Amino acid sequence: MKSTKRRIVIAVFLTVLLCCTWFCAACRPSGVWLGFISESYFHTNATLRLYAEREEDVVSAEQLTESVRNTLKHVEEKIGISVACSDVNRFNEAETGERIEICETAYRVFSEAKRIYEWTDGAYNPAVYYSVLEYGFYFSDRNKPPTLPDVERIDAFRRLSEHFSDIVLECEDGKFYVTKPQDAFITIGEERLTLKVDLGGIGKGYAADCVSKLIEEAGFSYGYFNFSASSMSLKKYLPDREQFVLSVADPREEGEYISIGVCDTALSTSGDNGLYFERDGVRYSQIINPESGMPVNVSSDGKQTDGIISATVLGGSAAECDALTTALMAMGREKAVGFMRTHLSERKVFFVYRSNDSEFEVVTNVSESEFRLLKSGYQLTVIQ
Amino acid sequence: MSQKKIDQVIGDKGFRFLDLVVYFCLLAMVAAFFFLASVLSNYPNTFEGIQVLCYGERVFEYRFESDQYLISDENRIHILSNDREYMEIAIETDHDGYNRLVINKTDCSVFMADANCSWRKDCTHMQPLRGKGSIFCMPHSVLVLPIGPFDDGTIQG
Repeated sequence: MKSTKRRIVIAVFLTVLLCCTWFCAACRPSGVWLGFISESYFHTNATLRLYAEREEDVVSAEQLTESVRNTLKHVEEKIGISVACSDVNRFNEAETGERIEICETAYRVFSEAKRIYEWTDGAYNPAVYYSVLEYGFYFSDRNKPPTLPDVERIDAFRRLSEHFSDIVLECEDGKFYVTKPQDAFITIGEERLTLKVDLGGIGKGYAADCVSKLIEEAGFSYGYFNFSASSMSLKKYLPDREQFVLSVADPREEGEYISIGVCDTALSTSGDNGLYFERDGVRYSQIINPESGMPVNVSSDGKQTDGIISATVLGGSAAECDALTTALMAMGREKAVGFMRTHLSERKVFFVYRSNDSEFEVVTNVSESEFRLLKSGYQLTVIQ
Repeated sequence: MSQKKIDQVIGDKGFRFLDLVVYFCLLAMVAAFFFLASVLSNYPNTFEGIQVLCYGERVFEYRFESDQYLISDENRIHILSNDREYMEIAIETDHDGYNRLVINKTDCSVFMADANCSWRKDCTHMQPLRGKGSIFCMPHSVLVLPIGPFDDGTIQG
């Protein structure tokens, strides 16, 4: 009798143990990660990761990877300003009043840029082309820093950029057109400059949205696509752990300042720690404030001012996120908080504000329980 | 406690020595199974080394654990110094361009020490590579990438 009892106990124990082992083993992911890492598009590194759960998914993932490459090439060819015959460059070289035919991709990106320009009341303006050029961020002598631009020239560029809202987009009989406004030019000395745009930022976001759509259409639920940190489109991580851990780079020190679990979303981060140079303790960033025509957080007399030094937006489309982070940085703290309250309540926003006393504040509309602040010296403000 | 009760407890002993040996072996097998599963699973996150791409071609590779390197293009890569703590290499690019890359073997990090790519030298201001991300010198088309399986569910924004 005692022996029977013991056998029953052992049998039950073994059964439970084997069931647990089998269950745990079944829960482990058995697929493979495919795609590509750090391929160059839009002068930045693009990465595509796809999780293929089953053997038959591997072929689909490889086909999808090629489709993504072709899509990225196409968007870059139509939008990139470094591609001589891109639609954006043809617009830039066009005379005022000229109407040119563009492809649907360029039309959609132009339309999105105009919509976000209106939405942000001009805080996002891709027509600050000449300011970016003047500060030497496009092309500069390899070993010679550019001289700081003349304030009057910058002001003329600022006025020219305001014509962005006058660009006319038309769709007729399945063809797409853009017209450069008649009075969108300035004359500086003997130089006649017409309105030019750089849709590279929002174009990367648009490309990320296209890739996201391709991933969905191919039936992949796990993976992500990104252009470094600037534009990302995330799916889920793995069947047994859906969220990725996103950590956002600290704009001043090594490491990250926040981390948050995310999945099935688009996101973008902009900061003055990307392309910049420093002169006499003032940081001149590639991100231009359309209101002044100068780099964000620099006053017209060339002094460093307080302001937003990094902004991250999660939610909506990647193109929107891209434009919104740039816009928030240009708005400054108070406007940005107001804009978050009125327009971005459905999105997750983080920004780092640097005061005149070099104090750092993290401002967000995300509940404290949802993320981790990784820097102890940063003040945290959660807005409702 | 009465002698009768003591005899009853001793008599009811459910497990003998050999039973315990069997249980121990089973537990050891389960532990070994989990260890192997974790090693072979999709969660690894080790920064094995770095690779350097120049104009899209892999020209150099270094692995921390073995402290071994591989030069794929001797016209592009020159070892400037190599000791127990640091390795410094020069990457020669077109039109007399160069980048100097330093590998810190002690803390497994890599950073661009110098370059003549532009007066701003953006690549030298990039954060040291410690496993995630990359160092990219756009004018020279030099890209420093980590080696290792990095699909660990973390993303840098």
